[in-house]
Amino acid sequence: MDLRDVPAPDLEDPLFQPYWAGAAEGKLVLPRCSGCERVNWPPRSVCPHCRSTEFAWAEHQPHGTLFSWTVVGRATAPGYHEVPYAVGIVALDDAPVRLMGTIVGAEPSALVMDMPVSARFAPAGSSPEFTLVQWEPTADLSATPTNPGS
Amino acid sequence: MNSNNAAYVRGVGNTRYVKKADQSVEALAVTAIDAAAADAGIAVSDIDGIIVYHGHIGTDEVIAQLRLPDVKLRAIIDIGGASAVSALQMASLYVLSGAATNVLLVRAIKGNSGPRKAKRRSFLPSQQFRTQLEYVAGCNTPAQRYAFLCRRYMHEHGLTREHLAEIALAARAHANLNPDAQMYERTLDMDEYLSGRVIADPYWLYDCCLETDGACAVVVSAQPGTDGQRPAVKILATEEGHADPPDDITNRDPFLHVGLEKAAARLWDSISLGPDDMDAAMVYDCFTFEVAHQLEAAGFATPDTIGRLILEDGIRLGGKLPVNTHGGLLSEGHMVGLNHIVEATRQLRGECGPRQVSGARHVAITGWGNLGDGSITVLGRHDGSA
Repeated sequence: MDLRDVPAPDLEDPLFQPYWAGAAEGKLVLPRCSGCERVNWPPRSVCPHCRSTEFAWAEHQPHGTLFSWTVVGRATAPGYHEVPYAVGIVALDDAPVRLMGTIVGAEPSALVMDMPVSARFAPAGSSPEFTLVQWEPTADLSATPTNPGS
Repeated sequence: MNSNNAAYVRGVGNTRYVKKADQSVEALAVTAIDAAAADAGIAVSDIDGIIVYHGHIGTDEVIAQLRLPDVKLRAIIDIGGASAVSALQMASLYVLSGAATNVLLVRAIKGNSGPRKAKRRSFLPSQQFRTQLEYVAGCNTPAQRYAFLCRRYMHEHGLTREHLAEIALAARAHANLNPDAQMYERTLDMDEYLSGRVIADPYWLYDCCLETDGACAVVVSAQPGTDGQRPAVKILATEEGHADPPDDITNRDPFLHVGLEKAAARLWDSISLGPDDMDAAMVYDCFTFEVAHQLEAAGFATPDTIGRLILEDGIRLGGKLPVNTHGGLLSEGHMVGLNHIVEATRQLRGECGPRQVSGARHVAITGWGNLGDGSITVLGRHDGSA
């Protein structure tokens, strides 16, 4: 997947800066509320559960399961010129949060609900300017038969 | 809100819905508003309240074009496709409080010959989530976002391609009976449905709403304006509701819960009618699956029975619950759901000709917008002098 034309978001936005800084180092880093210990995603400046405004960013295991996905057939998103591609929602293994990302490393037709996926950190933008967190099947799909239940 | 002091849909009007209109947005709006005022039996200058929608013609443009002499209040409701039905509630409050007498709801857009959806300004909440989390992942349209809900729902509740297809085919069959519909002369069969190109799988071409040039308008008043000459159309109750959280789909828990569930629960509690009393339903149909999802959320089915309602009990004219008898956003035109209110009103008056639901007395209308906001209203036919 060619990510050179994907526009960088505001990498200095304080709500997201630690996430992007972590991704640049190949780490999945998410905010945990210092008041109630919940992992908050997407990040908010005030914890909706306890109203704390203090968050500690911590590294998470880059593993999860594919909770849902779409296969984009008509290109609409800036920088995503080539279709089809899959974008999904991944339920993280070690925290009760879900993350959106492109699903790579498998044909979209080979994706299976709740399959294990792992993060891949991919340089994006023209310099490259930032690192995107993508997800790919954890198991080697070529070694297993197609799941008839998909 | 359910009030004994009733508000009424006093008048409705629309242009024909087309792929490309030669007229300007303003000219389309004026045509629809003139028609709605005439239908209401008021002078256009009697309009003293306006509720509009982002991205369509605005209130000041309407006031200027129509030279409205004394508009007292105006509003924009910003919950996407749920806004039209929510506006019925706001308009009811305005006219029942006396803050305004005749409130205009209007949609006018060149949705097809103007900028494409993905290029238009986004009015979604929490724009940071969109730019920081979604656009960078190649996700920037409603089709893509709602496809996540659709696929998970299909997985959890056994909804299939056949169900999605029937929603599209039913809408088209209805539009083929509606001369104002964009797809009036274009039939759709299963083979063509299945040949539709992938937009955002599970959504294929014919799972997606149209983009339309046109306009429609509704006048809400505390007076039915019928003089006993035709049935009055009473707004029996209207509610809106919001998902938890409303500004993000990915981390909603439970994932498939939407605002309409809350709104519908309050609505049915507030009136002495239930889903089984509805003679038809106009359901916000931005995509096929959203019709199934909302029929369930609004109480017309459970996750276990929604498939049966669609394929066996029937959602076409003559079925158990005729849905979107005008063709909806899928086949009549995309007027962001205000056209659903226009159709429900005409059904209750018995004005729908070959697509008339015989003896329709109660019609429910839903709205779905942004990332899961919902709204629902029930309109009732009231015969004789109100």
